[in-house]
Amino acid sequence: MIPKELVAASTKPLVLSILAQGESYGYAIIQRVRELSDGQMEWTDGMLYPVLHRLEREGLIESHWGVSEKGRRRKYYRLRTGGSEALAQERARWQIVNRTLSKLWEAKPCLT
Amino acid sequence: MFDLNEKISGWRNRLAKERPLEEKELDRLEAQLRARVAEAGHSGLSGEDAFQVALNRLANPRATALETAMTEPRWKRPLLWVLAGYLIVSCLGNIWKASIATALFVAGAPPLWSRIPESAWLTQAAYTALYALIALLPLAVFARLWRSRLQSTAERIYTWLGKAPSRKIMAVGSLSIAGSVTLAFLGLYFHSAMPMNLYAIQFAKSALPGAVVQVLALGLALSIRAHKRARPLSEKSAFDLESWVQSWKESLRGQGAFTAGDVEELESHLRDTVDELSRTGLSERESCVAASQRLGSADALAREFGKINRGEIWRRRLQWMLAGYLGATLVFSIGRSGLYSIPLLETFNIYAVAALLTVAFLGALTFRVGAIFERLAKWRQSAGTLKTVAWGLFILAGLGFLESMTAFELIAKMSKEPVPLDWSHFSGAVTRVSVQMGFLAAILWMDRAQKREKTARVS
Repeated sequence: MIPKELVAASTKPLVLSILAQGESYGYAIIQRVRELSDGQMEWTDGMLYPVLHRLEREGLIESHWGVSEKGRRRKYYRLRTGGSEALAQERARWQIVNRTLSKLWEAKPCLT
Repeated sequence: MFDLNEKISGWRNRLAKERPLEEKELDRLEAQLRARVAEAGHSGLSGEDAFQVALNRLANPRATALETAMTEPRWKRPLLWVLAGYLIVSCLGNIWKASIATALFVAGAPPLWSRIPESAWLTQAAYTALYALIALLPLAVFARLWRSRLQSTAERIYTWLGKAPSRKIMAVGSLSIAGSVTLAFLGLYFHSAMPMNLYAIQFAKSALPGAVVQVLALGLALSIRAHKRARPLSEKSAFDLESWVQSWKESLRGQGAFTAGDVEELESHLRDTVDELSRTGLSERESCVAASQRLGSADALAREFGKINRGEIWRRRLQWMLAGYLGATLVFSIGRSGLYSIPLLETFNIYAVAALLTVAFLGALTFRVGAIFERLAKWRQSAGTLKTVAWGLFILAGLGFLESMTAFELIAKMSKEPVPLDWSHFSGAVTRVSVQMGFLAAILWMDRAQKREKTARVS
């Protein structure tokens, strides 16, 4: 299981990346993360929404009310131009972290 | 993250503390719980979901469902803001009064005032217009803030009327009518015995119309009851998804950190999760418990949402403050009219008008006329914290201005004959203001302390 702090730190790039693939809503975003991480990344579902609202306030994503297949009201989110830029930035940062760690772990395989 | 053994030992410790169970019995219960977790695991649930469902299956389902999903409404915090509201208005009123008095003593009464003919009706008309102007705005805001809460209260009352046996309604209704009639007769009796007894007049005057209103209310209650019964009862089941979702939403609203949109969005998520869990073979009740668990406790959610919804929190506080002020006005006006028995039309009684306005307004809201007021207050739901606080202060200051209306009587008096400089007017106000400020500070401090306690509990 991934510790809480790491999950929290990766929430923003995860949400932006999922929305970059198309419009989505809270429940689907969580299902997607669960699927992609094979259930290793667990959020308290409700905590996603304050993050979404904050991103919306920052102008990275926008929302509108729609209707689900069952006819229930549902709030959909999609990426805005600012969001794509923020995602590119996040991506660059995480790649740096990833590269750094990979280099370290590849250099001394005998230690593990 | 999720550790089953840790969860189970925590549960066991709690159980051991709450109930006098022997080790052997605890072992047996634990074994049963583990078996049920495994069983839930087979139907495709994982970790926390499986644990919650197992717990739910083991314990009295109703009790557990309520325990995990609902949090008790918290009255302490709103109560503090109710008190704060009254104190702020009264404090601002005193400041107004003191400054008007000071200005009068320093500069004298404005010459314009003395030209106003001394007509009681004119002053009354001016008072009424001013009151209506200042009162309308807070009423509009108040209506908007209270709509959802009052709607749910009204719904609850209707449900209660629908469910309560007619006998209960009849008993309560007859008792209150009998009480009113007795009061009226007592009043008439004492009035004839002691013609100058003001209490007696008041009893007689208010109790009889009151009894008429109560008869009407009883009739209405019984007719609603009959109407409800006439409708076919929906399938009778121990667990009703709709009412469960309603009370879950209610427990969120009670936290005061969510906008209406937030609650709707979370509800949509909850229902999606319930649908998903139901497909794995769980009962509706079990799905609900597990789904609300996945979403997070109302406390924890409120903490996170509260960080981005500061405006909403302040609106909620403002709502309680207004409620506090209007409630206090109502109580005082009843007290005063009881004491002095001032007929509304002979001498203008601002407290009586305030009381009437409050009652009429609350009544109208219960019957959902609040939407009309809502249109008057057209500011967007997502108005910022600063805007909300500014509006709140403006409204409270307006109400405080109303409170200071007696100062105008002083102006009228001074325009006719000069009043010698009297600092007692001023020092009295200063004392009152400082005492009220002290109380306010205590209230704010208590609110902070509660907040800290809550944060500590959540984390």
